[in-house]
Parts: sequence; structure tokens; C-alpha cells
Amino acid sequence: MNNSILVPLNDSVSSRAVVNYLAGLSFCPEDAHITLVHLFKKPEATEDLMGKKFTAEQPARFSAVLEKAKDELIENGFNPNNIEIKLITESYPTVAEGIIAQFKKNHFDMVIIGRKRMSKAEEFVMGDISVKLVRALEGTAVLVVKSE
Amino acid sequence: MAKRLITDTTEFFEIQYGDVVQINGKRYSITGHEHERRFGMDDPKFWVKRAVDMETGEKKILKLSFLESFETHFGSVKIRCFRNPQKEADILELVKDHPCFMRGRTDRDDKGNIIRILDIVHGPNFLLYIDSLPVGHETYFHTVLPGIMKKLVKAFEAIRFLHINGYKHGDIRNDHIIVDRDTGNYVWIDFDYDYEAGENPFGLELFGLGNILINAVGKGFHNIQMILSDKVKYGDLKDRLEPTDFSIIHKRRLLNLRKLYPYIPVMLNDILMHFSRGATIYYEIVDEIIEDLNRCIRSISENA
Repeated sequence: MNNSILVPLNDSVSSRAVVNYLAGLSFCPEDAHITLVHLFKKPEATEDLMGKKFTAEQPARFSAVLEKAKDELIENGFNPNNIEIKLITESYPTVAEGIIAQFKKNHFDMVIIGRKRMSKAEEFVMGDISVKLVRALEGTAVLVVKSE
Repeated sequence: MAKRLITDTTEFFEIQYGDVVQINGKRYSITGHEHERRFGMDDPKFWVKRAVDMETGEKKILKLSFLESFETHFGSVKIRCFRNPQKEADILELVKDHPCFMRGRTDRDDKGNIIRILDIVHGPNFLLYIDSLPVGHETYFHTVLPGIMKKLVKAFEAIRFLHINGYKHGDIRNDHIIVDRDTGNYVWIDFDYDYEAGENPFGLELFGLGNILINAVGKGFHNIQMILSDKVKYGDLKDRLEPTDFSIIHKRRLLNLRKLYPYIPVMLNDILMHFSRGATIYYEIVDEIIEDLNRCIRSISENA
């Protein structure tokens, strides 16, 4: 049976740790169907405050992140035909909500998510995607890769 | 000095006492600017002008557009904050008939700057109000706090109203609730702040509500310095404290108030402990606090 794996990524240290982990994971990589996805969170600030140039550059920036991750997986034996890249331009209130929406559209056997080290206070204020996914997603495995 | 007529408020620092600001044909005479008074500091807010409507004679607050963006710290947590005049304008429209929010309308000057023309809410802020109550804690707790909690629930429900409509207050603090002298309502003011919220959009909002509850239940804040230096008031409390008794964000602020005032019911103390360093589960939406508070109020009423 082929496994389908959803891998949400951005350009953070924890996302790089996810790709490294997946690339080195000991299973039949040529049979795994991987969806590398980046989702945009609705910005709190208006475009005036964020900077129009900054906002306009985001899709290209994250597209490059996904392509790089794909290349790394191919180098490690994954089948290029089984790797899909998705840049979701629709924005969500939180990244977790975006991932959950993707999961609802297409079932995945596993979701791999990075988690940076954070203090209790940071978790309280900023929230934690991995905790939300573990709580919300049913009938799948959630693999949390904790970066340094 | 001749009065200046100002139709472009972009350079708000230059708008002074005696100037006349004209917005969409209406004229306001400037009588000063507001100040931020916190922790003994007194910072002028040059973008918030006191004014008189020259047609009606009514006192107003003119809040001019100030697109400030900065980083602030909540304990060890760094947050990117910014002022968002449009957000405050949208909320004013949303809550225009709501008794728990300041009232006003929005207009634009000749350069398109968003200006909020606000009614003044008369009364002390919640921090000063609690501090001014001339009773000891035990009497306060049994006779005054139940009424305060009922009004706080109404104020918290007002925040819930914002959240379900997709807005955050942005700066929930004890001094951003005014105890309206005329109606007795707890009225939220100043909602032009916004912040990058991460994955927990209402985390800081809930933290702010927690601070308000801690102030209400404790009849003021109690921090470690106070506990160490005032043996008469705090007795042997310092010997019974653990790190988990303090705030998850403000490490010196006591949250486990039941250790100080043992007559505080466990159920109420448990609400406060959601904001402590010992918490293993956090509130994520305001409904959860409201539900717990209502349960406390019912329990206190039944046992009274």
C-alpha cells in the first residue's frame, strides 16, 4: 500500500528539520506520495503596514522553499512523479486551520509538521500548530519533528 | 495667536491647543491632548486630541491616524504590535449600540486620514476603581466582588462579540475598561492596537482578561516584592509559595490568590490558575472563561 504524506513547510529552521527527517526516514521512499504545501496566514496588518513589495514577494519566496525541499527528497530516493507541490494562496486565520482544510480536501495517511522549541509563555501566547493538529485530525498519524 | 484652521491632520504633533480641526465640514476646537498614565509614567499621546465640537459645545476626543508599528515584550515573549485606525473605525461601527464599548464615529480629513470622533466616557478606569474601594479584602470579597464579577462577565461577553465578528480588542488592560459613572457599565476603550497573533489569535486577549480577573479577585495585584517586604499584610506567605503560583507571563505576579486569601473558592482560584506557570491547559477562546465565571457566580449565589 502506498502512503500519502502531507508536509506543510515554510522557510523556518523547524521546516528544514522536517525535510531532513523525511529524506532520511527509513521506508520505501519511491512508493510514498508526498504533498509539500505552504499556506498563507491572514496578515494582521494592512498591506500598507506590511509593505506592498514584501507582500508581493511572498509567493515566489515560498515556491522556492517548496522546490528546494522537493529536490532534497528526490536526491534521497523519492520518486519525482509522486511529489506534489502546493502553494495555497487562499489565506487562513491560522496555519493550523489551513492544514486542517487541506487534510479535509484530501485524506493523508500522515502529516509531518515541524515544531520549534518554545517556552510555556510562548506556547500560551502564540499557540502551537502541532498541538492543534494532534487534537483536530482524525484517522491519520501526526509526526512532530522538534528542531533544536 | 491666531487660530489655525487644520484640514490635514497628517502632522498631528503640530496640532496644538487653540487650533481648529475641520473634518468633513465640522469644526472642532483643540483643547489639549491625552496622556498615557501607567506605572507612574505620564506619556503624552499627541495623536489623541481633546476637543470641543464648535457647533454643539460637546467635549470630544479626536483620535488621529498614527500608523505606529513596534515590537513589545510580554514577559519573555516578543510580539509585533501596530496601530490600526481602520480596525478601530470598523469596531466603532460594529458596536455603535453596544453599552460596553466607547462610542463614536469615523470620518476622514482632506488627506484621507482616518479620524475617530469619540464621546468621552466619564468615570475611573478599572484599575483605579478597584484600588479606590475603601474596604478590606474579606469584606470586599463577600459583598462587592459578586457584583463586580457579574459586570465583568458582561464586559467579557462584549469581547466575545468582537471575536465572533472577526476582531480583536488588541490591548485588553485594566485601564482600558472605564467604569461608566452614569450607567455603571464597564466600558471598553482604545481598540486601535493590533498584533501578530501566531497560532493562537486570542491568546493575548485572554491573557488581558486574566489580568483583569486577577486584579478584581485580589483587589489589586500582589507581586513577590510586596510579599517579601510587607510581613504585616502577607505574614508567612513567602514561605508557602512555589514558582507555579505565579503568572506564566509576569513572573513576579502572584496568581494563586487562595494562598493569600483562603476563603477564595477553589473553583474561582482555578480560573486564575489557568494563567499561571503551573497551568497545563490554557483557555483558547473567551467563551471558556465566561462559562467558568458564570459557574462560579452561580455557586457563590447558592452558597450566600
